[in-house]
This record gives sequence, structure tokens and C-alpha cells, in this order.
Amino acid sequence: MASVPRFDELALKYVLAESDETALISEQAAQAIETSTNKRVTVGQWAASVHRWLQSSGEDDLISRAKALDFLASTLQILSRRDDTLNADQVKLLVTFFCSLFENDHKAGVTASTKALRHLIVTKHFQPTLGSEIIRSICKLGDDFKLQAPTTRLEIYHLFWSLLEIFTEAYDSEYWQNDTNAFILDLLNLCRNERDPENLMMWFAILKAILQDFNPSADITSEIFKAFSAYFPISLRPSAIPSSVTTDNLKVALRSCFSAHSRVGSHAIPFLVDKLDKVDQTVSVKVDILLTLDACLVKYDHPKQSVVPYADQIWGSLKYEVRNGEIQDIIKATLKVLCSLTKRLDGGDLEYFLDNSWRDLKEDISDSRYTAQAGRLLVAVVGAAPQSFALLMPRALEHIKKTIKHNTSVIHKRHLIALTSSIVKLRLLLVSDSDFNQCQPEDGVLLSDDLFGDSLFHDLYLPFWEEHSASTSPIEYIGILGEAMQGLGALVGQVFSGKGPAQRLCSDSTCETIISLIAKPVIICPLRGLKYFDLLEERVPQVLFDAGEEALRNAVPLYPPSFRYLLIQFLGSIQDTYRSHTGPHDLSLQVRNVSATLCTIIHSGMLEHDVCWINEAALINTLLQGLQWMLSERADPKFLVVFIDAIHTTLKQALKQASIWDTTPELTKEQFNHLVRTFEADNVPRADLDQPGKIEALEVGETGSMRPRRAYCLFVVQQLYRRFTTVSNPVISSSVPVGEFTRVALSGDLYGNGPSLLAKQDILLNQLGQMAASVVREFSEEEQRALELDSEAFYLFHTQNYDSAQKDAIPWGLSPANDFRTAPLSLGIIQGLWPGAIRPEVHLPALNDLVTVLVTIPMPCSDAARAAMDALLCVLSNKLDVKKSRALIEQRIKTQQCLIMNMQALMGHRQAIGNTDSKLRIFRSVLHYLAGDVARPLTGSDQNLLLTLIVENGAVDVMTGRQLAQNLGLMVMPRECLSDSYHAIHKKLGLGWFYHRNIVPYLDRCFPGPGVEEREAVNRAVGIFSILRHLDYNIYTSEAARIVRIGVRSLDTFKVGVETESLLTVLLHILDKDPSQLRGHLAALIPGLANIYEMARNVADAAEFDPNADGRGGDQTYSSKASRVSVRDRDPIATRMYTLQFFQKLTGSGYENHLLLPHRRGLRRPLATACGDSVREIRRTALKARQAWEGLG
Amino acid sequence: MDKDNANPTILNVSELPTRQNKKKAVTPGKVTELDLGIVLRRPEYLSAPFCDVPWASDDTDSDDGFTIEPIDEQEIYDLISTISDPEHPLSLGQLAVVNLPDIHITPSPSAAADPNTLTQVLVKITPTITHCSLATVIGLGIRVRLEQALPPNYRVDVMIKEGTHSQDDQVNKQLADKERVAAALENATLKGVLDKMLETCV
Repeated sequence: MASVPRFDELALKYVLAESDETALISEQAAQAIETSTNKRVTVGQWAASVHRWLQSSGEDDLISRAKALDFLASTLQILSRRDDTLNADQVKLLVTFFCSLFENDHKAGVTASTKALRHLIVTKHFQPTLGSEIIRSICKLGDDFKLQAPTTRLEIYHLFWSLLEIFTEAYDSEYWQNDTNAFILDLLNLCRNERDPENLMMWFAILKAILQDFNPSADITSEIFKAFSAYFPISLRPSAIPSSVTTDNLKVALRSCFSAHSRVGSHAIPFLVDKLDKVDQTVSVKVDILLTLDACLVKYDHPKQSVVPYADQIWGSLKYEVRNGEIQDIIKATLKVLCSLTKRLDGGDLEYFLDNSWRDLKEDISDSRYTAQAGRLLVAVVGAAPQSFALLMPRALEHIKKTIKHNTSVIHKRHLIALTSSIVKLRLLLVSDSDFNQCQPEDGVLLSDDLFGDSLFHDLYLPFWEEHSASTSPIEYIGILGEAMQGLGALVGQVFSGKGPAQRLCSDSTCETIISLIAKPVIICPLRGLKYFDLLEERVPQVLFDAGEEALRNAVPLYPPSFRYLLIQFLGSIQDTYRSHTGPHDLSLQVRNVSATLCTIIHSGMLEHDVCWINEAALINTLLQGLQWMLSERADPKFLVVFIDAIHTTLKQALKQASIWDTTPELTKEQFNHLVRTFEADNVPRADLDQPGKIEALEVGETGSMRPRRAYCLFVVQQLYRRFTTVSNPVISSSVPVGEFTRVALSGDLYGNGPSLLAKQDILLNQLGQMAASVVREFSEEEQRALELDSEAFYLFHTQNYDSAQKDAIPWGLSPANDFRTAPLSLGIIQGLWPGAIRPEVHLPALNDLVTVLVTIPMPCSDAARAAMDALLCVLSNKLDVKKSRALIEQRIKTQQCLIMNMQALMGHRQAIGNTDSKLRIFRSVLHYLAGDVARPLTGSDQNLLLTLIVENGAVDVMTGRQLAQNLGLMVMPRECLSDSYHAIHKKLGLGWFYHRNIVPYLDRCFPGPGVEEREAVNRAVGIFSILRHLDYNIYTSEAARIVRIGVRSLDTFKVGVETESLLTVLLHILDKDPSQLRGHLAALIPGLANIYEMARNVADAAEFDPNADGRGGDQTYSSKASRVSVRDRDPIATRMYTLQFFQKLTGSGYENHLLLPHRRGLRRPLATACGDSVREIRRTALKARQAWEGLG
Repeated sequence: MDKDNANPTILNVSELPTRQNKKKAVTPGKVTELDLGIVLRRPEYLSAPFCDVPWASDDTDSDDGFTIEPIDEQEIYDLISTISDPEHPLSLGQLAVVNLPDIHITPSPSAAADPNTLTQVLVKITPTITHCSLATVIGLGIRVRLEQALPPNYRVDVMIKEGTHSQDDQVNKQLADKERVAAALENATLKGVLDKMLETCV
């Protein structure tokens, strides 16, 4: 009997314990019960252990009594997890005990009893019959229920919920029919005043479950409906206690009660319609009512009983919400309800409903005030199901046609034609709907096929179009035509709705007429320079153009042959306009726009992948023909550029598609050559063919891919390269015998030699090169290697039929022919290659050759070619993957040695060869080389001699130190050709390494002092800021204070232009990231920067009167002094802009007013003057800064 | 307080004269969709600071998007059309109190003008009704806005458009009187009204 005091003790301990210890105590009790041999006795002792608290009934003991009962509950919680410890009698006894507490102890017993019961009912030996007893005793709480804490009530709801689940499992719904409906009434009575959101969520779920599973009688159903409908429409008052339940949660839970079962239908639908008809409902309430009604209509079973009787009532009430409604949300919800309603009707009910609604709609369609609304109702009703479409559409369409014919009001016509277009689009959707195929009758057609073919076009659209599209039409017709276009676009795609293959309803000739109508404003008018409407200033109104483009986007996928028609129109219009010289002066711009439109049409995502690919090929092919034609006309290069750009755009889009859809295996050289032969042999059009080829030939499947997009793109690049270049055997220099070297050169298409013509041709070559880069980069390293693209960069695809001896005759290096103007083409290919795809035997000679050319004085090429060569140098130096072999490292050092020797020869001596310009060009080339090189830093001490030379000695150079310093930023500037998309080699934290190695050691040498001359100090500062402007603030944050000091000193020493621009960029970075760094220097910074702004203004004003300053146009002798002064130094726009931005941001950087206010007076005049700057954007910034300073304090 | 004109004619914001619309009409709408811009601009290595070669294409804008343009009537209009009316929650542009043709700059704007030339800006305002008692306050608001926003070499004159106000002489006199203007700005109530009007200016 030793265990008797143990339970007493445990209970006492439990009552006295802190909340974190209680779990352990109940665990002990549970264990004692489980391990005991005589469970009956032990359980009795355990239950009796709380006896002493039950005896007392005073108010003071409430807490300890509750806790003691909780001891029992939490022990049960542990026991219930272990299933069968308690036998059926014990369970019954305990249930009775806890139930009795609901009657006797409303204050302390409820929570613990509920908890205990929740655990008891899940034990193995619980009898479902006890459930009713539990509910009955809880209901005895009566009015005290609502006095319980919300959390206690929530526990009780959970208990109910669990009991319902047990009932559902134990009995079928018939069981409840007579006997136990009473407990539901008790329950409704008990919970009728619930207000807590979380409890309501449970309560609604319980009511829903009762409706669905317990087959309540009609009376009870009515009572249940009253219980939940009293909450409708539900909202949530803001409360001090945050709740996880939102209004929307409550709405959805309540809605599920309404739609729980069709047996509440007779109450719910009239109730909801009645609520809707009440005036003064808010928008959200109306939407809630409509959504609830919709849920009921969708979910009720037995629609004959639950929906059909109310169809007229619903229509009669809801039609006004659309007819007279203004709020889009309500209208949308109403249309959804009507659509759901129609879906639930069939047979005679449907016919009756449609007849009834058509009577209203017919009248409204004829009345211009209500046409649009009636149209929306009509579309909602007929769009619900194919049956309703078939039943109502013939008369509706007939009526609409008739009304259009006998109408003169523009607005009314517009609404009617928009309605027709919506119907045509709707039919398109219905046919493609998967449900449609299931409900389709075996032999008949369902969707009024005869009405939607040629007849609709000839009866309605064509006469309508002819009447309204005359060029003298008033401008109000633009909108009408736009609406009609939408319908025309969809009409093209109408197909037979019966079983069998989808046959088009419109004849080919009708489709072609439609396409030609839509193409006029989108393609023909812009290209031919025609005006669509005489009355308007613009050629084609934007509305019409947009509508046409959208219609084409829809129509082309539905009627694929139309794209060919558009292409023929495109090309034909360009040719006619160009020849007649009567077209728009901006023909090239229009060609660009229209080709972009064509590209959008095929990439709108609506075309099947294969059709999309065929159209891509057809478009590229057409653009190639256009280019070819322009070449044959010897057109200005700007037209050629437009075509090249258009091809580039299309290729890029095609490659994007390829990366998504095409699963091409790795391409080998043989496969590519085979494909090329197929493209050629199958008459796939090349740039030199006049006739459009058979694009279907591109569907070749033998090579493993149905859509050889990438190969085709490369093929196009190859063709264009071959077209614009040729192979020649010129005399390069006297030392090379004739014929020894074969060289690629520009072809005869690029003829002439005027400077402006050459400049335009250079644009063409650069754009072509960049197109090649976009294509080449899409190939994998293995493919690039297999295709030997590294050597093609210098052969320019001319050696296809050469044997190896002939190939060897062409050196791997840029062709010096035409003053190196083919450099952009070589760059394009190399730029897109993976580092591993460039063989060292190609790479090294090319690199060294390039270095030799670039250090030659006088410069053997134009500035444009040199820019491409510098970029190529950068790419080649970056892609030299030295990690792979020791030999490459040595080669790299050799190349650098060559550059070092050249640099040393150039620096220091006044007598050095060449003028400053040539020197500077060579310096810049070296910096471009380093830019590629330092992106993948090599950290050995002997690895960076060239970098050390530039950084260490550059600033000390008397002649060119300053200019060299200005350009140092070139080494770290972010560059496209060094980006990941072009497979450049990057090392993480490379910039941090660069900063610590090349900037930190020199920060102290930015001030003159022992061993540091003034010139060196300034040059170093210039160089440092030129680099820092491209670095992230985090990199130099630890030296920020020193950098700011250098910056303050530099205010007086920097030249206005690039130097101040770099300085200001860095200062703006610092101000943005850590304004406290500048706090102590405001007194120097503000007047200093005001001074810089004024100087910048003076420089700009002076430039206006300097006739040589205009570097654009005029004679392009490359050594002209004026052209070497950079644009940014001539007119320091950026410096002025940044200064004012700095002033503006100062006021918003969190400085106390007393730091800024003393400077306001001094800034007033400069800021006021800045409001008169010659550049509009700067004036705007100045005004903002001025207001910010005036607003201080 | 009763409003002088409780039911004024209102212009739609999209119908007001702006500079942006004119520019928009030229640019094709699909550029962003196809990243056409990336294809059409000149290659990076030919742009500053990599290279300083002029780009002969006639279609592309200047690289940085900055345009050298003098202060013109449209710019003055942009500065003052966003001022709020003292009695309606509408801007002076929407109420057609300020209109582009009623703004005159002498000498007429040109890019090559010397920044120190004295320039006169004359704005004629059209009150919504002929007996508008707030015409002076509106005129004062425009004057204050322009003086705060224009450089020191600009002189601002605000007048009532001929025949649009029953007492235009008196209002014009008040607006032209420097001392009265200065005195008005000292008045706290009036200053409050003006600040409220200028709040909507950007």
C-alpha cells in the first residue's frame, strides 16, 4: 500500500509546481499506473488523489482545484498516447466523473474536464455512445458557456469536432435521423453567441460538418441556417489581441456553411438574393454575397431541386447589377454567378432560362445606353457551356447584325462590333476547351459552325470595314476599327466544332483578305509612308497599330500561312518605297520597328514550337533577302545596319527559344557541315538568293534535332561574314613575297572611301561582329573546339574548302588588309569563345601579333579599328588559361616583357619617339591588356611586372604621368566582354586583391613630402580615384578616412573633367554608405565643390565658342589635336550633375542642421545660378538641391 | 467658406501640354520586350571611356541621355502648372489658369544664350471666373515659385490675361508692386496658403 500516498504527493507537488515542472510529475503518475499490477486499484487511487481539493468549494481554492484537475487531465494525456492502459469501465467511469464537473463546477472544472475528455475519447476503449452523454452534459453549462475564457471555449469546440468525427465513423447518417437531432438543437443553443474569430472558425466547421454528414431534419436545418446566417455578412473588428484569423478566413468559412449542402438551398439562395437587393450595401459586402451565391450554385447537388427553382429570381435580381452597375469588382462577380448558374441548367430548364434572359438582353442590345452591359451579360451566359452557346447564339448574332446595319451612332456601333468580336473570341475558347470534346454529340455540330465562317466576314465585317476605313473617315472611327480588328484576328482561327480534324471555317481567300486588312496599319502604312487617316497628323494612330499588332499575334498562329504573306508585304513595301524615293525620310527607323513587330509576332508564345522555328527561319531568310537587295542597290550602309540589327534581334530570340525547347546533342564539325549542306542543298535561302526557299526543308530530323536552331544561326553568321569579306593575296609589305600570305579583307560590297562612309561601314562591321558574339557564346566548349571556331576568328569562315597547306598560308592573327578594319569581326568570334576552346597555338601568335601592331608608331589603323583591337587584346589576355601549363605562364611573361620594354622606351624621356597621342594610345592598350589579365590575378611576386611598372612608375613620369593616371580606371571597369555570359575568366575577390596591392601602398604618396614631389602626389591621387570609382565601397571602407582626406586635397588640384568626375563619384559613394566619414570635412568640401561646379560651367561655356572643340563630324584625321580632348573634358556635364547631386544628398544624409546651416548662405547663389544650367536634367537636380537647402531648419 | 467658383471646368491631366509625350511617340513600343536596346546601341568598347570615336548612326541618342536645351516656355509651364489651386484640389494646369501660349520669354530661348543675359519671363494667368477673389494669391504663388526655381538673371512678371478679370488693373498693380509682394510674404496666414499651394510642385 506504499503507493497510496504517492499519488497524493504527486498531486500536491503538481498543484504547487511551476509550469515547467508539471510535465515530469504527470509522467511519473502515468508510469505508476502503467507499471502497477492491479490497475483497477491504482486508477482508483490516482483519481482519488485530487479528492481533498474537490471537497473545498471556496473561491480561494479555484486555482488549486483547477490545477489538481489538470493533474488528472495531463496524466490522461500521457496515457492516451499509450493506447490501451485504461479498460472500458475505467473510461466510462472517468467520462462520467468529468462530465459531472460540467454540471457542478463551472469555474474550475471546465478547462481541465474538457482537456481530460479530449484525451479520453481517443483511447481505444471509448464507446461512441458515451459521446451523446458528453455533449448533453456540456450543454448543461447553459449561459455559463459564454462566460468561459475564449481559449476554454476553443477546447470545447475541438472536443465537439472530435466527437463528430467519432460519430461519422461509427454510424451512418440514417442513425441520426430521429433520435439525436435534439443534441444539435442543444448545441446551437449553447454556442449561439460566439464572437471570438478563432472559435468561430471551429464553430462554422462544426455546422458545416453537421449539415453534410448528419442528415438533419428540415426544422433542424432551418435552425442551423439561422445560426450561421445571423453572422452574414461577416466582418472583423480591430482588436487589441492580435488574431491569426483574417476577415477573409471568416468569410470563406461562413461561405462553406452556405454551400455545405443543397438542403440549405431553399433558405440560402432567397436569403442571399434578398440581401443583394437591399440598398446601401458596400462594395465588399456585395462581392461577398455574390461569391457566396456562386459557391452555392457551384457546389449544390441535385440542381433540379436546389438551383432550378431560383434561376429566374437570380437572373431578375443580378441582371441589374451589371446593367446599372459601375463597380468592376461587383460586375465581374455577378457575371461569374450567372455563368455558374447557366452551367447548372440543362434541357428544358436551360431553354426556358435562355428565352427568359434573351427577352431582356434583346431590348438592351438595341439601346445604345445598355449595349455594352447587355453584351457582357450575353457573353457570360452563352460562354457558360457549348449548349447555351448553341441555343442562343443564332438569334443573338442575327439581332446584332441587324442592329449594326441599321445604326448610325458611333458609340453604339463600337459597342456592337466589340460585342461581336468578343463572341468570336469566345467561340475560339469554347472549341479549344477540353470539356467541350466530352459533351459533344456524336454526329452534330454544336457551336453554330455555319454562322462563323465566310458568311460572318462577308455579311458583317467586310461591309463594316469598308464603310469605316476610308482615309477620309472621321477620327472617331479609329476605336471602332480597333475593336473590329480584334474580331477579325480571331475569325481567322475559327474551326469546325464537330468530331474529326479541326477544319478551318473561313476559306483561304477570306483569311488572306483579313490578314491584308490587318497588315495595312501595322506593316504597309509605316513602310510605305502612307497615312491611314488623312485627318490625322500621325501616319497610323497608336490605338490602331496596337490593335493590329495584337490581332496579328492572334491570327498568325491560327492561320500559319499568313506569316509568309506578311513577309512578302514587308519586303515588297521596303523595295518599292526605297526605289520610288517617295517614302518616309525615316525608312530605316520604320524597317527597324516593323521587323521588331514581326519578331514579336512569332515570339508571343502562342505558336507551337515547330511552327515558331519555321517562322523564325522564314523571317531571318526574308531579312537576309532584304539585306541582299539593299546591297544590290548599293544602298547607304545605314540600311544594311538596320537589317543586320534585325537579324541579330531575331537570332537572339531564336537562341533563347533554343535554350528552352531544343534538346540538341553536342554538335560536331561533321554534323554541322552536314546541316550546312542540307540548308544549302534544300534551297534554304542564302543571302545571295533571290527567291524565297522552301522553309519546310528545315524540318530535317536526321541530325538528332527537329529544330537545328543553333546550327542555323551559326550558318547565318558564316554566310554574312563570307559576304562582307573575301580572301585576297595582296602585297602586305615589301618584305613579304607576293602570294606567300593569303589574307582576308573586306569584300567589294564595302566600297568607297569618304570618312563618313567609312564610319558607317565600321558600324556595320561592329554590329556584325557583336551578332557573331551572341551566336558563338551559345555553343559549349566542346562544340566550339570541334568547329575550330578559334581559327575561324581569323579565317572568317573562308577556308571551308581549303586543304591544310592552304590554311597554313593564312596566319593566325588579325588581317592587316584594309587598315585592320576586319578586327571587329575577329573580336566577335573570340569574345564568345570559352577559354578552353582557344588552342594555345592559335592564341599565342594572335596575341603577340596584336601586341606588335598596337605598339607600332605611327598607328596603322583607324581609331574605330583600334578600339576593337584593344577589346580583342583584353579578351585574349583574359582567356589565356595559364593554369593549364607552365609553358603558357612563360609565354605570358614573354608577352608582358615585350610590353614592358615598349613602356620603358616611352616613359621618361622627352626625346622618346612619337607624340603624346601615340604614347597615350599605347598606354591605353597596355591598360586594356591588364584589364583582362587582372580579372584573374596571379599572385606570384614575379607574375605582375607589367602591372607594377604601370602603377609604380606611371605616376612619376613627367610627360604622360597625368594622362596615364586618368586612364588607370580602365583596368578595373566592368566590361561586357569580360562578363560571365561571354565565358571570361574571373577570380573571386580579384578586385580586393587589386586594391590592396595597387592602391593601399600608395595612399601615403598622395601628399607631397619627403621623397614625394607635388606632381607625383597629384598624379597618384588622380590614378587612385580613377580606379576607386569602379570599386565597391566595402572594399575600401577601412581606408575611407584617408581617402576622404586625399579627396579634400584634390578639390584644388584636379582638373575639371574626368578627374573631378571620378572624385565626385567616390565622394557620392561614401556619402551614400557612410556619411560620418565626411562630417569633419564639410567646411572644405562644400565651398570646394561649389567652386568646381562654377569652373565646370565656365569650361562648358568656353567650349561653345571653340570651333575646334566639336570632335563630331568634320575632318577625321586621327592625330587632330581637338579630337584627342575627350568629350567629357570639353563639356564636363557629369561633374556638374554629380556636384549638384552631392549638395542635394548632403541635406538628406542625417547631418545635424548646425553642421549644414552655416553653409546655406554661401550655397544660395551657386545653386540659384545652377538653375540656369544649359542641360535640362542638371537644372532639375539643381532645383531639387536648392529646395532641399531652403527647406533646412 | 463658399467657393468663388464651385464648379470649374477641368482639363484631363493627359491632355495638358508636356514634353514627355512628344518623345514617346517616336520610340517603338517593343524595344523593352526584345531587349532591342542592347542590340541597337553601339558596342561597349566603342563608347567612352574605352574609346572616343564618334558614332555615325543617326538614330541613336547621345550616350548619357543629357540634352543641352535652353529654358523654354514648356519648362516654365512645367514649373507652375503643378501648383495647387487654393480652393480646389486641382492643379493650375488642370483648371487652365496657366496655359502654355500665355507664357512669354524675352529674349526668346536659344541654346547659345549667354548665361548672364537678363531674361524676362511673363506669365499671364486666366482666372476661372471674372470676379475671382483669389487671383492675387494665385499670381503671388506663381511669382514665388518661379523666383525660387529660376536662376538670378531671370525677371518674373505675372499678370492677369486681358479681359479675364473684372479688376485686372488692380490685381496687376498689386502683383507688380515689389514692396507689397514682400509684405504679403511676411503675413503668416498668407504664407501658409502659399506653402500649401506649392506643396504639390515637384
